[in-house]
Amino acid sequence: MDFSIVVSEFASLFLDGIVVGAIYALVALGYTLVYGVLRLINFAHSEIFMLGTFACLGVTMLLGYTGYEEPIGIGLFLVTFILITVVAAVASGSAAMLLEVVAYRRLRRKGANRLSSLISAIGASFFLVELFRLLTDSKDWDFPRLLDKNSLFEVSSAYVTADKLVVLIGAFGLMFALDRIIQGTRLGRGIRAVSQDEKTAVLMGVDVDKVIAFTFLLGGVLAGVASAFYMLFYEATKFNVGFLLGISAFTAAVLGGIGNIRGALAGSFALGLIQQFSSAILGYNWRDVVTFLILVLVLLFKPTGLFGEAIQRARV
Amino acid sequence: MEILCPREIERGVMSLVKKTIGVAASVAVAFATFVAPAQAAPVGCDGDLKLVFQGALTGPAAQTGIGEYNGFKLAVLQYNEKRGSSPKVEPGFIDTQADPAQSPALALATVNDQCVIGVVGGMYSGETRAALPIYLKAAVPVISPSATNATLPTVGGDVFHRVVANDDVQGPALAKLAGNQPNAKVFIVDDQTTYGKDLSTTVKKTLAKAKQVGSDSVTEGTTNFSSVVAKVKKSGANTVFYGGYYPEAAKFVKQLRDNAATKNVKFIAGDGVLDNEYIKLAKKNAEGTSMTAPYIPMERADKKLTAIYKKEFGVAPAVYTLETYNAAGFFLAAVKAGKTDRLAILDYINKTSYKGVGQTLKFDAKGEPATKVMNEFIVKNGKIEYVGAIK
Amino acid sequence: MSTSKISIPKFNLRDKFGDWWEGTTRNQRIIFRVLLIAFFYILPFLDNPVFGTTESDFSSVLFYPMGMYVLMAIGLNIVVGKSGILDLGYVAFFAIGAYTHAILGLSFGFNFWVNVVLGMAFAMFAGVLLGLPALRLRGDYLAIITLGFGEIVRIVAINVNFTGGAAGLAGIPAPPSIFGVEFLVDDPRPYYWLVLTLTLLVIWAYMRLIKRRPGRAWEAIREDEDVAEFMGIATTKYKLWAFVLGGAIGGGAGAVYASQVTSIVPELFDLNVSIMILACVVFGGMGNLWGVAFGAALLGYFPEKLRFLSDTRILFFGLLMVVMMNIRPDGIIPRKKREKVYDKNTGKEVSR
Repeated sequence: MDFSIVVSEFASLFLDGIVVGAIYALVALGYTLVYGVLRLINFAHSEIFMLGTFACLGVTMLLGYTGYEEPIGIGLFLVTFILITVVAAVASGSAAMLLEVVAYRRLRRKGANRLSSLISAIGASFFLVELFRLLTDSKDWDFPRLLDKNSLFEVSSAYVTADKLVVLIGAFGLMFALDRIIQGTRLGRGIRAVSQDEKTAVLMGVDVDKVIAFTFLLGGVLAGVASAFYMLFYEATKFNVGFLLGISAFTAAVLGGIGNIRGALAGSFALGLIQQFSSAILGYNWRDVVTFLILVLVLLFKPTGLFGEAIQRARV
Repeated sequence: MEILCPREIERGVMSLVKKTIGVAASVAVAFATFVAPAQAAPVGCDGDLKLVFQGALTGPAAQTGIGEYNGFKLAVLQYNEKRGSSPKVEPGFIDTQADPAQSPALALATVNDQCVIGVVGGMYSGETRAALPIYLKAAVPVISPSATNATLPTVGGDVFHRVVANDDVQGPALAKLAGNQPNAKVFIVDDQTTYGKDLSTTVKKTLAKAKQVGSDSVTEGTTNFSSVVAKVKKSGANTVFYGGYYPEAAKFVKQLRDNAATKNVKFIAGDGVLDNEYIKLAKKNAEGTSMTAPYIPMERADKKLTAIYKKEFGVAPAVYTLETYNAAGFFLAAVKAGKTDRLAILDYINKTSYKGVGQTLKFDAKGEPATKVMNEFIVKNGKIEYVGAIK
Repeated sequence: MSTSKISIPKFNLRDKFGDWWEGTTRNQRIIFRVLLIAFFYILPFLDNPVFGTTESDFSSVLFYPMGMYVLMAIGLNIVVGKSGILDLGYVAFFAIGAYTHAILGLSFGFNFWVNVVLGMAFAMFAGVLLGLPALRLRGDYLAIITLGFGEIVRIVAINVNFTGGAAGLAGIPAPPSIFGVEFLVDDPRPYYWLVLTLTLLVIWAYMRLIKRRPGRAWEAIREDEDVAEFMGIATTKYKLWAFVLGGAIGGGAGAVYASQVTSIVPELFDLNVSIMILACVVFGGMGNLWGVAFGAALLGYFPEKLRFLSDTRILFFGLLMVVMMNIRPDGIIPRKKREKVYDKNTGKEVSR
């Protein structure tokens, strides 16, 4: 157990923690939104993310990148990256909507019990993982380096690089946009209404099917963007990359209070930081135990998470 | 719980007695009729001899498994083409997904097939160990190309052999490599697999304590090495040893090189990283990585064979392709020498040595490789280059 | 809510069977039961290319995954199906039982049967330890805690030395021979019969419990926990009982499993197993013992049977899950909508 590293490397661990947290946040939002409206843990959400990573890869392959090029200039990078992000967002968003129709809609209409939906979600998850395993030859796939990752400036022990800035700025921007959507638009209000009380929402004239489809779309788009950031930062993917990240993102959502958007954000950053610091202190191999212990302890003593349940209280 | 009155108890007991009689009767019938010596005496093989590959052809470990299986197939294919008057050998496989839960059932079906003369596999230690007692009982010879766990020779007894070097040889070689770096300050990382952990433990034991500045463990599938990099930075290490496989090694070395403080550390790893995929994944960051392995890679040892392999499977040989190719070759050499039943082949493998491609296979009494060859490699200009043998 | 456009004919195996069962006499029922049980014992000998699993040894498959899944599904059914407690970490009990037998058998030479009992005891203890704080919570929160618990057990097994770490333990002793039948490494049949016998015992005990207060308390809790509380049922106590009993069965199964495979590694006890057993329970028909057993047997059987599809096996499995849930979410043999009512004193069924 090495506590001194926390002191000497604090800034570096902190920065990496929130960058990872930002990526978690975008995925966690997908879990939390769907849970809010459907009270369902969308197990297959991690595969929507994974699908996004391969969409990103597809774009770079189509554009002809081999990975051995020199990093491109900032202008070209922004254009390319926005293209990649949009493609990934569209791919993941549509996949998420398709998932809802195929795996959940019928069960929802029938009023089937929650476990059936859970099993359907799990089946969909298995299906997607295997599908992509077959499509990608079970291999690790690498992503070309688009942005120069030399340190731009240093803050104490942390090296601030361009890609970290892109991830942080992009993630925050997106979260702000999401907040606007949930608060401002009609569909966004619909989401809050359905999360609060579905039956009353129907009575008030909310088109529940549309709202739910929109929720999945939002979650998918966020996962798609998250996948672009992930690829920028990690530069590699594999068919099972969704599982590991999904567990962390899901834990983050629960930590913050599942169903609560601000909670998902807070939980994600908290988890990212906890993971970084505990890995440094205890050793990376204990990271997951710590993650789960946190999860268990929070649920035992504050089960509604740090911020409590309920999307409608996002105003807090 | 409620209190049961005597009549209820009596009824309950009677019902239980009736049920027990029913069950006992059926069981007795089954036993009396069928539990004689377990199976009818096995009939001999009624077709071609079969050599079976055990490993992951599907599932998360499939990439390594397919690489091994291709090597296996090529060896059998080539043998059948040039066998002359020797009996034909059919290549079979059991897809365990490297899962110890699945391997026993598949292994049992395999040994019950009397045409099976031997097994090349398993791929990883867990699934191999689960199947070994069955192979031992049926006296089916086994040569594993890549299972590294130290308990395998004990569990597998006489039938178990492996191509991959024991950590006892590779560990000290790696320690020597690391320790010989100028002013060596070594940070040791393992991936918690049997292979990685054992290797790292041996390195830690052999390397001079004064040269070790820190250690950490990761898991397979780790993508975010930033906390490990932070630890490396803090320890002031100039050399990093990674005990594990190439997917994680590639990500690790990339993140080391991206961090200004650790970008120039020397990266050293074992044979689990010696794969062209490592360079493909890590790109320029792989440059300068030193690795050890108990063989000469196929590309260097036999260019013609490599070309045939590439043509047949469309990819380059993978991390354990060569070992699997040679393991299969050893079995086929036995068949060519006229041995066609399990015991004779087992005897042949135990007693003789086999000159394969890029390495010679000879096993000691425990089934470990007797040849203590360890080679050093380095990544130079994007290619794996052979440096020399480590004495 | 709009009705679905595709109408699937209402076919309910359980009702059809239930109707036939009502019409039989006592002796007919006994003969039926005896024949059915005899069939299961003879099953290993009925291996043929049509129904048996060709690529894996059929007897081995009967033991694992089929036999083990059935036993564990029955255990989990008490927790999830009967009492409505969503447990996503059931594999933890299985692991505890397996490691108990492995460690005590290897290091201390304890007898197999002792280890089975101890395995169950440790699993029960873990159930109490986890259940006491966790069962106060509801629904999904409880599910998540159990998931975390399952993962923690597995990761601790990897990181700790006396469980053998990532390499696990090997050379685990087999059960001592019974009536001269030995438990050998290359003959899974005695193990299968052992599991079958234990399963029958568990079923017998379960049928007893279900009719009495615990069983009725569990159903009340599942239907509506608040109302049950109002009616004076000590919900926490009964939930704990369900959890612990389910755990005991899992622990026992684990010990038996370890004795057959003789070699265990932590990766055997991962989240996938918990999900699999849960799938068995839901797929088979939650709360319905026969449905759950049948579903578990099918889900253990099909991946092995479909090995010829090799690469796409799991793909079809996932698809099957989705399709199954969408067409028949209550499971293939759903539990009765209207539960049987038993007369308190005589234990006989009372028609409403």
